[in-house]
Amino acid sequence: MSIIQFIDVYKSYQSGANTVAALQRVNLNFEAGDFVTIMGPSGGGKTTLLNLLAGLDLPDRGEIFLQGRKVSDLSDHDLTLLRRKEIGFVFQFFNLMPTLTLQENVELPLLLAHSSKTQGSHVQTLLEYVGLWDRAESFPAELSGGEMQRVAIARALVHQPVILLADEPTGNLDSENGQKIIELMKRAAADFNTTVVLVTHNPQIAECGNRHLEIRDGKLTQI
Amino acid sequence: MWQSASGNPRWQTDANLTVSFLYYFKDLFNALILRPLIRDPFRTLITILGVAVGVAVFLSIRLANHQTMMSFTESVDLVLGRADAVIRAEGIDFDENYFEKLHSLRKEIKAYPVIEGYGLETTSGEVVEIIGTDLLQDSGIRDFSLKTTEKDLKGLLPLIMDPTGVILPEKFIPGVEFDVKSTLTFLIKGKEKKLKVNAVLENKGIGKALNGNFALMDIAAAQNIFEKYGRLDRIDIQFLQKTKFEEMQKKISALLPDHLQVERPQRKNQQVEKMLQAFQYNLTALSFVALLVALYLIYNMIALSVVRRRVEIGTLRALGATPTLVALIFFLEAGVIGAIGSFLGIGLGYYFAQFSLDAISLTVNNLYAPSYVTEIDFHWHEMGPYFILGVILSFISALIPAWDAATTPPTSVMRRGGYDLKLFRGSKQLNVSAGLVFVLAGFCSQLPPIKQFPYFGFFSVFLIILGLSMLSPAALLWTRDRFHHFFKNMLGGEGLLACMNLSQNVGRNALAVSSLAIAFMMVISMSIMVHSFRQTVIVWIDQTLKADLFVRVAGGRDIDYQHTLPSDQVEKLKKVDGIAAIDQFRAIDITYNDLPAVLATGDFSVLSQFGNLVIKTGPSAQELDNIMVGHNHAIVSEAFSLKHNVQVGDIINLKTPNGPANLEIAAIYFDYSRERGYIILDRTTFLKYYQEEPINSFVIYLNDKSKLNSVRKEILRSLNEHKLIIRSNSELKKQVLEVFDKTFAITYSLEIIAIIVAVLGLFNTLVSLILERKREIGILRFIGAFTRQVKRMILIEAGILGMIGSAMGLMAGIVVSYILIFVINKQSFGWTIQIHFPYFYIFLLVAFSWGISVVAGLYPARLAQQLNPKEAVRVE
Repeated sequence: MSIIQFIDVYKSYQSGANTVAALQRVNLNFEAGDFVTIMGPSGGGKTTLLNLLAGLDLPDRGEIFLQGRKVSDLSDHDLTLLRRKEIGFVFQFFNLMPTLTLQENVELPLLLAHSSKTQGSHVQTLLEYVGLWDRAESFPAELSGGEMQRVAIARALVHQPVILLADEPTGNLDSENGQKIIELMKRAAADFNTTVVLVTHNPQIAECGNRHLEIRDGKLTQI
Repeated sequence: MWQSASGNPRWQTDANLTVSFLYYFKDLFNALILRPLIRDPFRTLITILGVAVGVAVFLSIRLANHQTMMSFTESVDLVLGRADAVIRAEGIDFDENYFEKLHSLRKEIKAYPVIEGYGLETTSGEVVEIIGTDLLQDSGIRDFSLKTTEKDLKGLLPLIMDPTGVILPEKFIPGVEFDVKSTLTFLIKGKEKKLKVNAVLENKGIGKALNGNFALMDIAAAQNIFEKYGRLDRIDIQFLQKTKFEEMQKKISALLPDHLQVERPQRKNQQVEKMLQAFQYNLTALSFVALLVALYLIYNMIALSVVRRRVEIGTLRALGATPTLVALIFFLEAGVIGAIGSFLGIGLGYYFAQFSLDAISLTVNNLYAPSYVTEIDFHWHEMGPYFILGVILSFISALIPAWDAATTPPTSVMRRGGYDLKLFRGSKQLNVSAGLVFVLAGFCSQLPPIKQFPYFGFFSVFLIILGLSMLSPAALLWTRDRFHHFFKNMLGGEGLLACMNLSQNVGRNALAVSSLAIAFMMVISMSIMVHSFRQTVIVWIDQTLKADLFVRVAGGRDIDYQHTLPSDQVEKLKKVDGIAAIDQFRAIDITYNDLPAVLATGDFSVLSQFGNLVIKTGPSAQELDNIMVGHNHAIVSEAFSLKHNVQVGDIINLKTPNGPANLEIAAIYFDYSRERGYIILDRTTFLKYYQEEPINSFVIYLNDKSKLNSVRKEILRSLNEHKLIIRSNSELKKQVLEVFDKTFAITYSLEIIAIIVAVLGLFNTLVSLILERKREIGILRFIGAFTRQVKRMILIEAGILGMIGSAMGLMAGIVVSYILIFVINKQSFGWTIQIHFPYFYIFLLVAFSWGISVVAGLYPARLAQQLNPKEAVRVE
């Protein structure tokens, strides 16, 4: 079964008096364990695509199915539950909570979900997985960019999501650290059987996926 | 002519430069100061409102105090007219023959005899001051115009001849209808007297005195209605030549006995001023708290502005703006808010002042002197100093954030997410400084008053406020470290985030918390002080008021001693069945060491056997009769002993009609009825020196309590010529507490307003934190937080901030209550108050303060809830 399916998806938005077509007749189909990279220039529609994937936005036309469920049929509450249970996010600027320790940052999605996993050693396992358990009590400001992104990946994986969405995860890192993060994400996709959708400007990073797409002027093409 | 390089005259170049600077400045002002304020209208409005309320509260108390004082001084000036000196005996009348003795100085002075007294106008229930003068002569000294009568002999003669004739001001008590020839009934010395209105005073000069609660009579008629035959209360003196006061004082005094004093006319005003000083200063200091809290609001707003515009500051610095220009931007922003807030505050202050005036007049009337002022005399052109004060204080409150913005390197300012106010970020140094400030506060609280005013006491409260503000970052960090596990376990992720967020913008959180803590500290300390005072008074009246019935002449206030009853008629009551003893009370207002005091007298043989006084130093009340009856001894109240620094064994010197009296202080007793203090003599000693038989009131001890009603009836029957107020023990106690509660009503209002201003500050802080944390809130939504969880997080954060503010305010409030009770109150009024904690009330206040903090978080929480997560992280 497809994990993510887009059927003839159109999305536009208003920019002043003009209507800009952000996505035009996008069709896609991602399977479990896929590591998909999407490359494209700024304004090409990458962020719009990610927002639709996350259920943060709805298409103007067409259908989106996440794990077989039609997104447009879901309420805001259901969409939040979907993000909470099925989707993990990794951002360019890491977006860790500056006031929480690494352990608490990773634990946060579970705490918000009142999940019993917070009781066990699940958080420890993940911090060990990203190689930062010894820094569990540190605050984000005490880490390097690469370390912060590793924590962000641990946070994105803590609730064992089916989909991991990554928006320029290496955009704020040097190439060495960037490479390490991509390796980590690939490893995680394989270990946790998670579908990874990674958006990037960087052609080198884009090469790392088992599927490589390009988005330009709202149109998606397989490379 | 000086030429510039371009060949233009120098002055023209200078002028051009000035004009271009103004244009340049105008553009910058619009772009950098006005536009940001307008862009954030809601919080700008809240801050302006807070400043307006703060200025209004402070101004209203100042205006009301000023108006109360002015009404006294203006009325005294109008009543005294052009007098250069005044002759009076303290608290009592004197033989009119002394007036004749001044005849020998007729080429140097002109003398005007005066009778003064009070009457109660029966339809309105208002007290009217009645002045009796020689109407034929009086226009020489007082400025009055009769509206309905010719001022010559023909016109005045019918007034002089009428023994019940009275002249009323055109603007008499509102609602009292009268016309010439109509008759009004007054209660004078407990007897109803019908007075005929013979003329009306125009609304100028003396006609404007005492806000219309005034009546003029001929001296003979006044002597008649006040039963002061052959007596005078005062002689007003006009110097016919330019003479030094001291010189003439000497000449006049030589003709008079010692107990008649020749004073400057201004002395009464000075005494009233001294008398009200402590009360008014205390109230002003309290009102200042609201202003102080409002300044925190400006501080908060400017600090937020610095934080929000950090990129702008960095860019400006990178483009070559000097640190001074950066500081100036924030100074002027504060100035604009301060100016608009102060302007609105002045307008609002006028309305608040009317309320304050009513409350202050009530207290002054109950405790000090009759106050007839009803309206605030408000003039916009006199408000300049308040406007300037508001603006200057706004500038001062912007000092730290402006300095912060100016001195932080552009790179740090622009750095993402890492910027907060430097000063209040919390540090060991700040905590140590706070500790030192508290030690200094403790030291200052031990220092004595200056000129009877507790300057150091107030300074120590100010230091506590300062220390509290300095300690608030540490309190936030302490709460975060100690309680985040608790909040995480109890309230999940929202609780954890809310608690950990305390340290994210610790500088501004600390400000919100400290302003709340300060306002709450004042409420708590005032509540403890007032409750302690109330409890002390309850215990005191329980111990002191032992009699079964309290009787006084009707008309006027309890503290007016002009109304008297004949003592011999009261003596006869002793034979009435059921009465065990009667204690007769008489008091007169005197000055001692140039300060007002009350000389009072009672029957110590009765007091020792039946009554009680709570003695501070000296023999017990039960032993006092042996020491006081028939001896030149006095006891003094605690307030008197502190004001005049006298102890048991010291001698008090009084000038009496029977020569100087040197009285040894036998005891000091606790008293909470008059702040000016009492000297009490036994009736035998008093009569020896003053020969004033009439009494003001008397108390009755029953030997059979069941006869209370029959005794009451018998009193009314025996003294049927007089209107009496008879109160039982419980009725009197109830009335004392009613007066007490009304007196302190205004202090509560002031502090509640301060809390509201502080809550506005908390509200502003929360809104600003949410606007700043948009991205984080967006991330929370991305990782699966429901909108209700975001809302909950903000409410928990508001609750924690409120709780920290309340806890700090509570602790500081308890400390300040000790300073209020044992330093400020003691030094201002001389009262010993036993400390009592109103536990339940404090609990309610804490709950209120905490609850209102959560309420302040409702709107910000909704704001956070409505944030669009896509927009929030769009910066990606």
